[in-house]
Amino acid sequence: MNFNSLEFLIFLPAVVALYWILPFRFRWALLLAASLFFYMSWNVWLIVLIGITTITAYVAAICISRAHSAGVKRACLIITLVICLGILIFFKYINFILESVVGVIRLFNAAQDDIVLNIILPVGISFYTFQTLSYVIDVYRGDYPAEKHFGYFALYVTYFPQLVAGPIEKPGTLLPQLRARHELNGDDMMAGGKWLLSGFFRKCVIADFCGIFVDKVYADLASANALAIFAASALFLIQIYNDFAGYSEIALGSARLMGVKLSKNFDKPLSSTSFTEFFRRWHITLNQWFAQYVYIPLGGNRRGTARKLLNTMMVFALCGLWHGANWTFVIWGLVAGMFICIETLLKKPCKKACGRLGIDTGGAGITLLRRAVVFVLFVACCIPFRAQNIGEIGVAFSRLFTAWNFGSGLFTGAFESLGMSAMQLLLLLCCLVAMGLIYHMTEDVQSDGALPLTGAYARVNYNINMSLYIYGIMAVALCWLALLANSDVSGFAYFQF
Amino acid sequence: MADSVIFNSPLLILGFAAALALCLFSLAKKAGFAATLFSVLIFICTAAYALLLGAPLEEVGLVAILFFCVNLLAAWRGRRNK
Repeated sequence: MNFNSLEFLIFLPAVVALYWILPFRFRWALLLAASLFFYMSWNVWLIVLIGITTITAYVAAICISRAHSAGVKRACLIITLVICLGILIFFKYINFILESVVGVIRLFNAAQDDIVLNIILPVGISFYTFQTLSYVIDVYRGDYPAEKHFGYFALYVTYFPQLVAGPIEKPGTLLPQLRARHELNGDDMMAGGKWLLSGFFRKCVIADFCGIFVDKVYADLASANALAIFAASALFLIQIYNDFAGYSEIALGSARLMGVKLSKNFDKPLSSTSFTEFFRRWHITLNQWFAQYVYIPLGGNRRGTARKLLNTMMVFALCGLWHGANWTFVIWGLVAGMFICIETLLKKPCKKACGRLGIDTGGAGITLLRRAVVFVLFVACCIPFRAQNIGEIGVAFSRLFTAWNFGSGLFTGAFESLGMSAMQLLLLLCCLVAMGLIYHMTEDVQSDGALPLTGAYARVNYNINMSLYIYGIMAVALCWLALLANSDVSGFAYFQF
Repeated sequence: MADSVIFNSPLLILGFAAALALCLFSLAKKAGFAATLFSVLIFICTAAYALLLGAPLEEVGLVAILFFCVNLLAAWRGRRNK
């Protein structure tokens, strides 16, 4: 049951209505049942895996909280890590590992048939595994007490708005909210509704629409010129951003309708002026997870520059691998890590040089230039992220640097590769304008979870709120139906991670 | 443009223009509930007529996005002016 499916449009209002109708003591049971139903709608048997992970973490946390010896606590933590990460590695990476081993054997000219295990990839396994691990590690560190009520703990792991693609919530953020008695109020409903509208617009209109052109170019990279590849990669960046930010906003909105405030996952990443800032604003909960549970325990930036750079590269390689069982994702992670390392090394010399030349690094012109450079470099980063295999990355970059056929139909060729008509170009431009407005309106106020349309401007706000809802819903519905008619509607990209 | 159903029908252009004018008026002049409601009603009627005339969903969706943008812009400006 995807968020952009008709089933979810029936499921969500039904759960929200029941949630507010039922007495407080039954609400957790309703949410748990709804979350399990939501997850089982993909595949009933997936419940077994999430069940094993949940029970393991629950028992381990109780054991850790009751144990007096540090050795027992450590043993419980290690057992949990082995079981949870073992499930993740087996179901997500086993074919990738086997394929890589077979590739190495073939390098030495030995004959070896392909070995492929016929296993399915459980939806959202990386997200709920990381969330469960953060709970057990926090209990081990003494940052959070073990949850005694199994129902609330199971709900923390399976809470349907954020189950399959995050945000990856820390126990201290989500568990107290799930336990709290929420009262039905208009502000939550209004804020939730706005998040839902904005999320559906991002996903069903912008991301899916950009996806049409990206798919066309990446289906035949060898015949696309450099401009087409650059445009498709830039559109892919916009697609993946709106796809995931849209999902996160639908998750925020769905949870908010039940009084729960989820963490923000995006904070205007496309206006970043450096790569470090970009990753502080993009998929915030995952990057915080890696920083807190991998980067800092590795030594972070406390052991000199060389160690800091090594830690950065390791974390980004892992982050790439987290995104998918393919070398293309590892390459993406390494390229992004390399950009961060270069930025770290150049930061001081650049500052000094600018100081000597009297250049104001905070000026509007320099800020714009830095944003453009980060955007263009991240578009280049997106090529390995979108490519299906290493060969495609090679083709894309070779075309990007060589196929600049100026004077012989550069623009016409690019439009042909993108398969874009004049009407679609106009629609795309309107979508981008809408994205820009939503971008500026929503993300800098995610912390309080509401769009800035309430308060002082009450009178005009009423008109804006009402017309935003009506026109927004109509725009989403019409464009979604148009894309559906052409079979261009797709699932959420981050579900596969 | 030549294939466009909306651009080839003066009635549709008039309907959308009236809806847009009322929408802008209701937002700019902080008019009451009635102006917004009329704007929405005119838009819905015109969009329905456009679909009956055979306008593709993509084309009507484009116009809906334009109206959505106008309202987003008003909301954005409202926030900046707070």
